[in-house]
Amino acid sequence: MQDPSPQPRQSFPATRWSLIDRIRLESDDGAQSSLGELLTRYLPALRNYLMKRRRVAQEQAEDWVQGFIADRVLEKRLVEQADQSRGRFRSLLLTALDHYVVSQIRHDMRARRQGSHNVVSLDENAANDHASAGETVDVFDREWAQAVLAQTLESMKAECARRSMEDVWGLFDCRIAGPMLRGEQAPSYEQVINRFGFESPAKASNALVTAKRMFTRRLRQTVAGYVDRDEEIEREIADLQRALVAAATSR
Amino acid sequence: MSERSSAAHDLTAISRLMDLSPKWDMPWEETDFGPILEHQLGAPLSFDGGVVDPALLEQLDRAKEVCKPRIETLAEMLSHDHPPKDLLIAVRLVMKKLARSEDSPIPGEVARSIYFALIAVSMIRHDEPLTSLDRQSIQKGFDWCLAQTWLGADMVVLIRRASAL
Repeated sequence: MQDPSPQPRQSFPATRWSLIDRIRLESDDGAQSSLGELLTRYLPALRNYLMKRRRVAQEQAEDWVQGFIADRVLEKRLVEQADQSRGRFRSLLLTALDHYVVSQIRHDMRARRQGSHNVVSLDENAANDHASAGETVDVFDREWAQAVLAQTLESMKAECARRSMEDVWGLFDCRIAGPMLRGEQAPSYEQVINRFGFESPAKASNALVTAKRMFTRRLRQTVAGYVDRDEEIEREIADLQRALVAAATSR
Repeated sequence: MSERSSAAHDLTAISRLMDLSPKWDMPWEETDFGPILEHQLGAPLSFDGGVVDPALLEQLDRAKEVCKPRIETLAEMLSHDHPPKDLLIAVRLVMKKLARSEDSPIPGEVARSIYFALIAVSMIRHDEPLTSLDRQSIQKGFDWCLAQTWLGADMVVLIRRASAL
């Protein structure tokens, strides 16, 4: 069976303000440790953002992210400027990264005009067409939502395998995930029964309900890994849903 | 589907998947109703207590026990020469519950068709519908059943026969 999970993406973590607070408030050693943790969480996502959204080559993305960390995050203490009341940390981070990239491109262009630098491997549009803060957040949310989904599906599949519930996973995959995510034709009831051998319609339907509940539980658990408090889970998921719908309708 | 609309579809799909509300739409399409009905008719005559009152299920089990020859499936019940009245009533009440419940594990339409098929059997085998529904309501139900393209041939014959009484 084809692996139903979307291609793995680097996660775009939700903001853990407790971590940011620690960076602001703790002594140097503690702050460094918290900052290290924060960067570990965000580095892959930042790199992925540049590669996917900005069509930047991997090596260039690595360079810019490292430069961004050194110049903006460490030297200009970007994290300490984060203010929960003014919006999401990831919005601040991405906007700052975009600004940093544009400044780097301008710097490179000036250098090139002076005939002293090689051409950078960036999509031509990126220099002039960098996203506004709002667009940046949209992209970030979409990437984040897709990463959460991939992680959720993967953990659900693993749980089904561990608990010998392959039929629940198979049913969820062919009747729900496949048609919704991969545009596949949902198998008919007869095909489902022939494939999974459910004794009655009630048992087949109950298996689907079980699958949906397991997916929901796994989704909560996935998001819980990125937020500080349980009550933030549903809000985070609702935010993602809104961002996805807004992005879909704007296309 | 264009690349742009496909991408929008993907985003909407992910959003729908992330819907945490407990509401769970019936996962089957109308084209599945025929096979579901056929499967239900051949499935063991037992129901779990999720939607149906446990007392009603006990009533159903008791009625099954006294039945000779033993009835194991709905299909056997519909074709039985003398299906016990208690069993007809018990299963019909279960179907009524399933037809009306939003949490029913089988589509309401399928449960409704079985409900009227059991009334038809009661009329044919016992000369009485064993329901408080008046004749006009019963006929309306029969007509609804006969209008369903997914109803199996045996059920169509059964309901037509009762309809002519």
